Amino acid sequence: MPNNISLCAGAKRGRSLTRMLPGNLAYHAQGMMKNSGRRFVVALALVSAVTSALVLLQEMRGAWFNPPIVMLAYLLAISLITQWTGFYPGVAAAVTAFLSFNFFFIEPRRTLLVSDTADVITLAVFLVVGLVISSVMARARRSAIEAEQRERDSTRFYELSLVLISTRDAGEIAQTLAERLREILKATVEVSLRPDPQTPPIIAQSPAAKLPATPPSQTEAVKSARGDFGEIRIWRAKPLLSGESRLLRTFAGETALVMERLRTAKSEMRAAVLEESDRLKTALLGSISHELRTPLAAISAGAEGLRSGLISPNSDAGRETLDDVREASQRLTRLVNNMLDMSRIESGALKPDREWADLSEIASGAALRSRAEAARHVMEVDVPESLPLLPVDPVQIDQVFTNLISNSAKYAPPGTRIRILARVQDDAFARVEVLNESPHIPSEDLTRIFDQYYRVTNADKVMGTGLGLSICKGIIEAHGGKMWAENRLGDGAAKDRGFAFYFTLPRTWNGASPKMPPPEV
Amino acid sequence: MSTQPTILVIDDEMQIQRALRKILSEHGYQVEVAATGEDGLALAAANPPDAIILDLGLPDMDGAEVCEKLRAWTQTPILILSARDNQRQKVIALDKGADDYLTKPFGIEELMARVRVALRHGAHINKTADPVVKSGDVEIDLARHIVTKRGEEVKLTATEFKLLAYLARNPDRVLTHHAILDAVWGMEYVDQVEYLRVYTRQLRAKLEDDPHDPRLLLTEPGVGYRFSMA
Repeated sequence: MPNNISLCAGAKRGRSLTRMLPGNLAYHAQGMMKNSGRRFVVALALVSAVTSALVLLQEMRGAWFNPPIVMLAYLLAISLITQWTGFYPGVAAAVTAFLSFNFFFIEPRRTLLVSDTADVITLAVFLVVGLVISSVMARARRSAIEAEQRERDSTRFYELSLVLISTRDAGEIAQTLAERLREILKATVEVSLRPDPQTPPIIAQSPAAKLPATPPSQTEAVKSARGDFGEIRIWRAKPLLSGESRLLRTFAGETALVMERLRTAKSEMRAAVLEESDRLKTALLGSISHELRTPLAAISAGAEGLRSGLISPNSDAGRETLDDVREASQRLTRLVNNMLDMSRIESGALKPDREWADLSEIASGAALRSRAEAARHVMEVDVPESLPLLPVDPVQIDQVFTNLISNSAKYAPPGTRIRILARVQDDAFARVEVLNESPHIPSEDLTRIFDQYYRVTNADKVMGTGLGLSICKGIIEAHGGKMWAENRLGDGAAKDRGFAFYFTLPRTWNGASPKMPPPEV
Repeated sequence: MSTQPTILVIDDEMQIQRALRKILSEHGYQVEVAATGEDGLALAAANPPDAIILDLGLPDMDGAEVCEKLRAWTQTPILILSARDNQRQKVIALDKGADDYLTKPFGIEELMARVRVALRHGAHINKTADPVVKSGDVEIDLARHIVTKRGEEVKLTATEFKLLAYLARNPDRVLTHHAILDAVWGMEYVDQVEYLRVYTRQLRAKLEDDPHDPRLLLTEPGVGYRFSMA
């Protein structure tokens, strides 16, 4: 047993260990001699050893040998024994020493009788002094042990606190706590923490092996005045000592405080996020209600006019009104579709329905269908037919082109070109560019234009929800591509305008390339 | 008039029911309305219509299931109405025998054009197909395997002709990738959409005035192709 060895080693070092006695040795001795019976045996064995040595010296009849020396030798032994073994073994040692003193060294020897009155007094004083020494030394020993224990506890506690403070992650806290407690208590430990009362607890254990099937030998709740944060469960054959239980409680308390801070920080963050998204939603609602109201007003006014007979359905005015109503309802449809798409992108429900598709066909189709919207611009589609088929959702990619054309048409001056280019970038990706002559934007806004509702901030100038570009980005990213924008040098003289949207699309589908039909003769 | 074609509308939305009833009857059709798939099937059996307009979003039954059950006993043309986001469902319904689709919201002109095509298609069911199909300046002689554009013969490969002939035999109908691949290349090629892309591109290059703005062979993105007679 390692503890026994450390005691023997300490004893062998002789007097030099006095310095250590209140400290390590005493602590180890206590640890080792939990069994008080063993401590009594040790105490009595030491008294017997001292007695034997003194009897031997007496046999040698040294001129200097006299009862006071015997008495002092015994007192020294008693004080050391008490120091090592505690109060009661110390008392036992004192009584044994008293009896041995009487038996071996007081006339008549080898009896417990005392003939001289002076010897009676000597013996009485010896017994009292021995007992007093025992009690004093025992108290010193106890407080030394306690001091040592406290020092160790506070060191461990400090170490744990450092770890707990340095992390924001409940999983890490639970794991650290479990490992530390296992080291200290030599027990199997499971820690379950609940950073959020609504979610299942995070559980960590040490050692990583399977937990015992039996219920834990001790549990300690991790809670503070403001909430219950979980539990520490301990499995150990031997019950915890009082110092160990205290340490466990302190650890649990500190963990509860950290968890409380964590929970507070989290709810503060959540509040901030909610506030931000609330602000965005309010801004969006403002923008959308404006967007909704305009076409609704057109539809409602048109319907009223026709219904009341103020406008005849068969007159030019009537037909114009009906055209307006139709156009307005188309705009509403687009708006609602955009909002639906955005919510699908946000919830991750927008999954491309891939098929091998011809990008030149998609791009030309989108350009043709955007003719009305880009009527004042010159559209050019430069997608070579040699471009390989790409595994994309043709409906979604069509929408990307449509939105980019629509955005270009909104911002680029009339009469300028809107160009769509596509090339193979490398083995993995094809790259598409949509180029226009819109004015440059500040470079810090180049990524922000893809943020949802971004243009809500300067919503007055151009119609739209500010969702178009973020939908494009969402679609491209769902395809496994990237999307970004750059200012570029414009064609011809204009140096402050020229804008480019770029996106990439993967060329393979689950690692496969398109299977082309065999050539025909 | 008893000669008026009857159209069965299966849709659970009151407003759509009312709008369709009004529009269709004003165009001279008799209209029957069912709000559930179950009722629709019962009505179709009791009084066989000339065409069926079927909403895919029914409360009691999957639209594709309704198509399948109808196709078990009737070839009446089925025109499906679908929301924009259930592409898959639409394709399944077309594969189960629906003839065409319209995405909500749709225009009246578009609806009426599809209804007319559906009725024409229904009327053709029992007749032998006209061996010569004409669309714009393109003529396809299905019996003699000759294709001309502005009177000049266009040389097609065997597969090109097979594809064109299959599309032309089903004019103005949406044909799914699956259906075309099965008919032209065979069952084991039904997932080879790549083949279709290559051959439609070749056909457009030979037959369209502007292959990028096709008038004859129209792509239905994510669904299939349509041979346009217009």
